[in-house]
Amino acid sequence: MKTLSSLVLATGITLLATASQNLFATDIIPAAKQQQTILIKGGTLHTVTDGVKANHDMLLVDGKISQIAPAIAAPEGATIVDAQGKQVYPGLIGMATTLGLVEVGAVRATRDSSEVGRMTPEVKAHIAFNADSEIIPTVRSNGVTHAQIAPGGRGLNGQSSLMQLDGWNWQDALVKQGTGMHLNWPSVGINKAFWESRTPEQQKKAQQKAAKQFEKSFSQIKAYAKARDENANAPVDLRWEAMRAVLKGDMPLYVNANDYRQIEQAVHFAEREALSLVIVGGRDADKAADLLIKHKVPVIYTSAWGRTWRSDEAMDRAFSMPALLESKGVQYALAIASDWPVRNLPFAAGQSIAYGASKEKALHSVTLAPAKILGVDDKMGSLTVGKQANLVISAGDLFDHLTHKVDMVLIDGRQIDIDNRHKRLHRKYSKKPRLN
Amino acid sequence: MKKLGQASIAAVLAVLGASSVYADQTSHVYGIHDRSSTHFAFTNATIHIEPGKVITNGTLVIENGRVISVKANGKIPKGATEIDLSAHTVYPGFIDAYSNYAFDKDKKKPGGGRNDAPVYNGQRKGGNAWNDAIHAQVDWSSEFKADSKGAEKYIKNGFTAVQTAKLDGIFQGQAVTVSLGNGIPNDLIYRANGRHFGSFDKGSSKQAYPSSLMGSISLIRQTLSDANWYQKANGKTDTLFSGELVEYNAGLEGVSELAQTGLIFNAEDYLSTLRADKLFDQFGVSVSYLADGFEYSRIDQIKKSEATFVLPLNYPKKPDVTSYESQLDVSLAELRHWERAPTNAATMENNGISFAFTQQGLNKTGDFWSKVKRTVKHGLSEKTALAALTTMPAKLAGISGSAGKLKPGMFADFVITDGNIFADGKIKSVYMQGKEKHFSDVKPISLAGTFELMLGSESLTLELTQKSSKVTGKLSKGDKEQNVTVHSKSGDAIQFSADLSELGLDGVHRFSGRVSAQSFSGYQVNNNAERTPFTAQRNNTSVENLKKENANNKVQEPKSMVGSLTTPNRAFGTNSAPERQNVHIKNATVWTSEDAGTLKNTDVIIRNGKIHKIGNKLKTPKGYLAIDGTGKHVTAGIIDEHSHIAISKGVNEGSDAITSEVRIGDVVNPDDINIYRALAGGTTMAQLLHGSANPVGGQAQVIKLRWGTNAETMKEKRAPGSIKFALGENVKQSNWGDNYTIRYPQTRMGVETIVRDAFIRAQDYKASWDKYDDLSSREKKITAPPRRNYRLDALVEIMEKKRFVHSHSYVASEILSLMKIAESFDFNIQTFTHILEGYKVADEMAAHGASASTFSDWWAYKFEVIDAIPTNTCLMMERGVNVSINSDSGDLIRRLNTEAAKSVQYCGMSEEDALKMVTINPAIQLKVDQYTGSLKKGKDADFVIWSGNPLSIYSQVEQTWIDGRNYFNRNQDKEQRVLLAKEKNQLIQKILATDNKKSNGNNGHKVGKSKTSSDQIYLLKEEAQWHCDDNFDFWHWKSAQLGGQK
Repeated sequence: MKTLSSLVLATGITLLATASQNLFATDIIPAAKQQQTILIKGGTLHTVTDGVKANHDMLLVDGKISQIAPAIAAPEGATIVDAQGKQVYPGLIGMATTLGLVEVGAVRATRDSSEVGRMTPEVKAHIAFNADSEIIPTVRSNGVTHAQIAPGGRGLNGQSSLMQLDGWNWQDALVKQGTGMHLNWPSVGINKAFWESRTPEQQKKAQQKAAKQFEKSFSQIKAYAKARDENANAPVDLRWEAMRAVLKGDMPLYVNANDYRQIEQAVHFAEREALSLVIVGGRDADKAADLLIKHKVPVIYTSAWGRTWRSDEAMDRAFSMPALLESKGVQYALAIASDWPVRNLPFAAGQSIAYGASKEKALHSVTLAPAKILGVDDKMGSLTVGKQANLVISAGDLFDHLTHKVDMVLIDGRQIDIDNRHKRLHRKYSKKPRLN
Repeated sequence: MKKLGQASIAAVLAVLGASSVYADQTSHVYGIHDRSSTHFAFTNATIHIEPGKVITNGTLVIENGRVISVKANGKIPKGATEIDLSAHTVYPGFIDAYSNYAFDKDKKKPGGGRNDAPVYNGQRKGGNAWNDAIHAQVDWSSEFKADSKGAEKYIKNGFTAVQTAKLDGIFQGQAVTVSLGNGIPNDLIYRANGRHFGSFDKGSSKQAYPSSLMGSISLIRQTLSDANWYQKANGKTDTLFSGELVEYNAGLEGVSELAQTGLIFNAEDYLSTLRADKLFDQFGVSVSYLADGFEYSRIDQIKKSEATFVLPLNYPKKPDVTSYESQLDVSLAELRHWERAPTNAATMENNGISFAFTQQGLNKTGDFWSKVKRTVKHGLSEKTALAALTTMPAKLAGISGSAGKLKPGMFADFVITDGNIFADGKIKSVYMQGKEKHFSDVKPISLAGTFELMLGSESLTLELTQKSSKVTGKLSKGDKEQNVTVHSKSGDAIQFSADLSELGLDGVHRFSGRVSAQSFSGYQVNNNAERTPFTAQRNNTSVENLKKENANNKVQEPKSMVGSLTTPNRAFGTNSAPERQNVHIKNATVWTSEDAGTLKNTDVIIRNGKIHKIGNKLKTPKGYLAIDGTGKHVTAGIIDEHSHIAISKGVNEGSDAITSEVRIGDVVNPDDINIYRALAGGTTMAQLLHGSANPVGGQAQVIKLRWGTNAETMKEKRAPGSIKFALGENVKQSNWGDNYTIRYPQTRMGVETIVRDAFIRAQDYKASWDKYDDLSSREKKITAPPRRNYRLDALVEIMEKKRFVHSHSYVASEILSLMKIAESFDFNIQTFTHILEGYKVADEMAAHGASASTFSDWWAYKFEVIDAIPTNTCLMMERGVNVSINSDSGDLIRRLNTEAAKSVQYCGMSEEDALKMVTINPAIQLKVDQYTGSLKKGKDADFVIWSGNPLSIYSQVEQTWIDGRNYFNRNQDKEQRVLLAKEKNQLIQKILATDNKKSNGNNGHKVGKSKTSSDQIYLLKEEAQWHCDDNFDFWHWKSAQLGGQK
């Protein structure tokens, strides 16, 4: 039986990484499948589904959580992780990200997130997923184990996929495809940004036109689906074919909507067409709380640090939104809809607590809530026996910069190398000789 | 003596007009000389000789286009034709001092957009200025030609003369004051050399410079200085430097006239008016500003400017609050302005500010008078209103001696109305140089009335109704009635037809007749083509009743204001700047950001805006505000080395590689809500930096976030001058698009060289001044002085260590090379900002003496930040570099505390060091550390009270203080939200209560029928959220926007 303190484990990984630098400086090797049983001993378990359990043990077998108890005897050959005084969380799940799709934002050659055209429901995000992205290791080393990746754009953008963040290639990293069809709801209201060159009248006209166009396109899609449903020999159109699962309610429609009017329109549209709906954005979600609850529509709130939108709104409105949604009973997940900033997801949860969300709900909003929206809550999102062993061990409170210190990350029971480009560059330049 | 009816007068004058096309002295006369009589006496009128001077029963005598006499009960001179104006009023003709009459034909073409290739050089011809936005040499009098169609929109409102020029560019040329009559310019030009016109907007100039407001201000400053230099240097030899004669420059000659002629300047908004006033004051130019209608909201400052104004009356349409949904687009600031805008003129009057009205800027000139009346209803005195239409604009147009009053010898320019024009009087006629423009008859014949009509044996009642020019009618018999169709009417004649089958007469009958005071008579043709005469006697229904009815339809104007007026006038503005208080904070955890470290259970005493004492269990001095700090933390106010909040109209003057002449200090925007939001995050001081579009950017401005004060008060005067430099992708235009590949530099090599070149030029420049200053006064008389160059002045200041460089930078190579440049010119780079690869050259930076201000964890957004790491702070600090964390955004400036905490997270920095990165360290970088940045006896009382550890994500700012004044207080903020919501709803209710049906175009709009209203949906543009690399041409953008609206 080997007993590794996580400190020793971390050192071991560091040594491993240093050794590998001799060959390929940028490669971090994805962890192998869990071979040995792992026993996490004495940690404070943030289970999400069953409260916080101080000083508990957790047994991980074959990539799954097999037991949680105050004291578990170490099975033969188990690796023991001493988590005494440490905080154990389920792996965080990033929603609506572009991880692996964008490497360097300003360099066009490295952008694969938006296909040309306003109607591209046929494209699937995981196809372009770069498992070797240098960004991903910097995100998972902060405790994010999974990410939904979604195509961007200005209309019907395409399908998202759920990835685990330690894979050899997209096929290896893919957890679930078709997690949602992503649509930007047509804009509403008057844009008062300094750069908007259209008059309010022109804006309104354009919006009416866009709304009409949207309805027209949608009826075209419906006509196609009907033709295909009733005649298997009808010709295939890859674009509209992709929408059939959405029309059947099998694939949720993720609608990017921030303004109350967008949310209201989207909810009633989904009701009329019997679609499964998820709102992404949600800066006015509190104003539509009744509707969202009535129609059981979850919100992926993406403005944890958002700026106050309207000039006369309170300065902390965006910060307070999670707490507002919690108090009204709207189902929500917190997300950072971007690439590298996804590593700040734990602190988004912390921010929501500072502005009134409960600790339980904040944790829920970055773990089980996204898992539920993704339809994988039977597999992940909480420390529950039978679920995947996706977990994060931090020396202190994961959500505060002052205490956040990730010692270990596991995905499916695999111990992930938490080294990254930043740590490597740090090590290199720590060794630069001083000038004299 | 014969009295002429009004109608025939018009006819006579029409003949006069036709024959007097060439009435000047010099033209040849072809045909018979016109010597028609021009001698008229207008009698029995109420005459406004000038504002405040009225005579009743007056007689106005004119001849040859001039006023001969104005007297009460005056005699009619021999030979004069009398025009009886009893029950009418005469005003001096109105004057618009700011117009583009006759020059508005060729529409201003927008300059290049971002998709066009940039144009760096101006078009040179005829000794013009180097910059195409400057054409002060143009005399618009030489381009003037009457435009009778264009004149109409003025004349119909009673205007008789305008001062006009083409409104295009920065120095637009010299305006000409002209009569709005028709004829040859020689007769119409009242004053050939009027004021110059100007604006900040470069207009149709395609040249890249200037691309921002601060660039325009700098261009004006340099141009005014150049004009002074040109006066002194013209004709002299520049023997010291090049041996050449001073160039010929017509543009500068034109600008030199400004001191004599004065200027009317369109600054576009009240903040920019204050900016322009500061600028022009330095050069002694007298300026009248085009008002933007918001002057009331900072009236004290506007008053202090002692400027005069030209005031458009463009009031906002009612904001759309008809539904919850549409209300989401409406802000409190918009609602407040909707309510208060019509009081602007009255507020200016009450503050003794002089102004003239203008039609310029009005969406629909037909609304002009309804807006004037609305202004009077909102408190402006009729006397001042009349002055704003007559004597004030006459003064601004340089024609006080000949127009604006009705005095003997002045032009016979006047307006005849049928009553008080500020109440319900309508304009009937406008006379320009004694020639009439006729709108409606002085004594109109009303067709309205009820007439008893005999058709054969049938007795019918005809009822004619007249509403302005439209006549309708109906025939009735007993309780049966039939509408008639009016086909034509002219003067007292009318023709109509009606199917009279319903009334017992067969077929359609046609009527042609004339109406008089007693009857309506003429002929009717029946269905059998029988033509018979008729005479119908008038019954007693009168026009008077109709008039009364109309009077009752008047819109009730709101009397009292339900909206507040704050500084700035928007949500979370303040009623008054916070009072300075003496404070005793008890028993708090005090983070000193000094060697003393973090002190638990400690008291702080604030006295007279300074930190007076830090100690334990201190007594609360009498009269001090005691704050229980138990469980709370107190830190110094947070300082941001790199911010772009509170900047108006462009953060980059990116149109040239070196723009050290532009100044952020010229464009500080005290109204930006981001100031308040930053205070709510504990920030008390920020360095507002120019963007990173060019290697040498503009001069920076350090401000304290004194929300609720003005731009000048916010400036931290004790901070030494600083300036933005930039390196890397932005300055070599890597991400500007394919058109931007021609300006030097395009590589880091070129960046190094052009900066070096600039400093060599600055050295030469300094040397030339030194030589000049050493000359004897006799030598100075014959030597052209060096031209003051604001761009090089700033670089000289850097070399003289009076101005300090903050350089945007990312990669190691460029950091090293900039330090080498500085060293070779014997100065230091004060701070490398962003500096994401600072950790690679930290020793070198420490050796040079440069400090670093970086992002906490940004990376991967562009290629040059691919090696950025979140432990940059620790690595630099370990090597002895002073390190701070900056925001570069209105977002992060609200939470620099947790940005600093990221260094605790990523590299285990001590909490005290982390906090220093946003307090004392940036204070050192801005060279204000002796005044602020830490909690130490004698320093400014700039501090923050936090709910817990200031670095924790769970803590909130409770209070932010600057100079012992409480600028942010979370509890008060919460109370204010409730009050603001209430106020907003009251304003909405007020709008909803305004009767839609009776509002005309000037007071609101019918829901869903915005086409019928002259006003567009009213919105206040929101502040730009500038970032470093927000480089675009503000003026080109603006003109494209205006183009889009047309």
